[in-house]
Amino acid sequence: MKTKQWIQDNTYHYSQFNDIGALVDKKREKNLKISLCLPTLNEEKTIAKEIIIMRSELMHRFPLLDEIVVIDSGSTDNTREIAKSYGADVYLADDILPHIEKFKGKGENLWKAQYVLEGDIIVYIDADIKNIHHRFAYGLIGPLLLRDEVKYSKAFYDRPIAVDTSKLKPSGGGRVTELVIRPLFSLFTPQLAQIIQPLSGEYAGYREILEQLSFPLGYGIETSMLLDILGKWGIDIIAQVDLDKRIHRNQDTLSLGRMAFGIMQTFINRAEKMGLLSVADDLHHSMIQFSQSDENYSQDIHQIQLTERPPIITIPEYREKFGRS
Amino acid sequence: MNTNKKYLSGYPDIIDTLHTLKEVIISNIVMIGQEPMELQVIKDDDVAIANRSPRAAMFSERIGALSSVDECTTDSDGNPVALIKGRSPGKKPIIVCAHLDTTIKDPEDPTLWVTDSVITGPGIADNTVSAGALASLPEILEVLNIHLESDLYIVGLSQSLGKKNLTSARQFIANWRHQPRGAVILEGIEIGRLNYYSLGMVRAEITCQIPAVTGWEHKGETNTIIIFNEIINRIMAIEVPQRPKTRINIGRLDAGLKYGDTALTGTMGFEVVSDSLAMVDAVYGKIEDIVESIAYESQVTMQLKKQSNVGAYSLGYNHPLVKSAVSVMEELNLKPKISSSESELAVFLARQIPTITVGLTHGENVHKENASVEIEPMFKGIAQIIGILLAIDGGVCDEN
Repeated sequence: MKTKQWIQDNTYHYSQFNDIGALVDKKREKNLKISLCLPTLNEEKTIAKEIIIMRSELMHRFPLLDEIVVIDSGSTDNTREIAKSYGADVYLADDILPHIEKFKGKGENLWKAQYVLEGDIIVYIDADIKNIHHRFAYGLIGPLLLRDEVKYSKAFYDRPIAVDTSKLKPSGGGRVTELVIRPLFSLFTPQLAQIIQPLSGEYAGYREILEQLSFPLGYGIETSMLLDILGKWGIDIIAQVDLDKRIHRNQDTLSLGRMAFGIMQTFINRAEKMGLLSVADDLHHSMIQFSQSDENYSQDIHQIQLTERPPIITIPEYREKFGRS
Repeated sequence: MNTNKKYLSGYPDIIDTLHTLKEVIISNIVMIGQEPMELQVIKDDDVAIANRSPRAAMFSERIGALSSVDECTTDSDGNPVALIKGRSPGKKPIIVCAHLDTTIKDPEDPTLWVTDSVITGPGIADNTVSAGALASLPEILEVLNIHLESDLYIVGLSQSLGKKNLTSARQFIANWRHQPRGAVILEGIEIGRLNYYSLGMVRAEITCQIPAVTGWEHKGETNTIIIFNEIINRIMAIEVPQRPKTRINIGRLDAGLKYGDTALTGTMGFEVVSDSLAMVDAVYGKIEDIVESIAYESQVTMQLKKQSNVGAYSLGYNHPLVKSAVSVMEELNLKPKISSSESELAVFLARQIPTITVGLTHGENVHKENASVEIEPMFKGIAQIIGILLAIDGGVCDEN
């Protein structure tokens, strides 16, 4: 079965790329620039450590990264000031391509980052990682530099979650993965079910691939990327890398419920376009949840719209800046 | 010896230059400090092949990867040791070291947080900030283009605190075949701290247990807290002299489980400190008598056990190393705060190695999980180490 071969050939452990000097040599040989993008919203507790370690290890000790850029959604804490103080280039998402309609969200930040970043390879890493290590970047960059056919790499983890501010739970991450996205992938696109953590927030890819992808602005960015890459180029350009432990903030079940809603919304939209299923009527955009107070249940309705940015290569300013005809 | 010499005059921009390594230094602090200190079994094919402290291993990894380090190894006691060879092979070596262990064992959240001005987290002030700065020293010397005449040994001491009783320092020095020129010990806080003498000290723990048996021979006190109260009263009645200056510190008391239950077990920790080791022994002997007598009187099981001890040693304020350290601090507008240190310093001084202990930065909540250190003063703290190393390399320890 092809998928079995894919797992064998395209699954790595970060330690296979521990020779960072060799990665730097390969980057120079290929004459590439590599950019790291950190999307933020109120990450003042973790952003400094991420920038410091990446700059120290992958710019000072080994010049693997050419730039570190923070794209901020409008933090109300000191995220932007702290990031600047440690030498990152910091942009407010709203200030990038300011003439187009403004949206909020991680997907918006990642999409707009493509316009300000200079790299041929773009690495996206969430800014809320408590146990940040430079392996999070070089582990993802490794297969992109050492395997010519690999154009997109995705992280997976043994991921403990922070139950509260002081206790770590050794397992239990990835509930939405196991209860929502893996069943859907298994039903419709079993090749993608081989990806161990399809919703992980860390991935890297060549600009030539990313610029051709639509970016949903809500929860569906990771799902849509995988489906679109599968549809356009096939799974063989994807690699997955075990980055060991990732400690991050936990989300409550209601938040995960809204995340699951957004991911299903994106999946159904893509699956319809790919001819994998047809939906008789338009989908609703309201997620209904309940909360209890004084023995009464109240209904909370969350509007979750499926808003997408088109491939950035369709934006004239981008085409002009990067010489795309 | 001119002890007013400006050791850092050749490096007028030293603080600015050290700032260029800010990320490297903080990365070392974070990456070393977030690793656990306790030994972990390393297995190869399911067979245990070694016990290793992940923190000591990370220290070795960080420092061993640097091209300016000539050798990096781990000694038989688990202390990572790095060597930067000097330009004059005949010179005696210089040692710079810091203890890697911290007083907080198994913290609930070992993560260190960094802002633009502060690093926060368990163990950061004592002594993670020093361990990180120490691991950065080869790169610091390189960026300052400093090549010492002497070999420089950079040592992370892995077992220092509490019951470990400075084991690492004792073993490291015991295995040392040649007398070093001098040594510098780094502590996280406070910057300006200058220790060049240690008082005689013994730290000990008294444990008390009410036997779980009945009968006429067990009709004494039935509550360890009451018993400890009596012990404390009798210790307080011991007359300690003004000269040699001597004091007894009762620092820990832990007994009982619940408000309403009789306390059946308990422990009490104390230390006796004096300018004279003979006086320490004399006072300790009196406490031994107190514990023994109360054990008989109360018909309970009591044990008095020494946890750690050091002798009273002093380099003397007039030693050129101390004078040079003061000069370096004054060059950096630091006000020296002189006090004793009953730590690795005593072990080094006992071997007649000219040694001082200095602090790196300001900090708060030293032994709590929310300990913090300030980032900016650390650069002066590191500059001070460079000045002291230059002084030792220039011969200030060679004349005595």
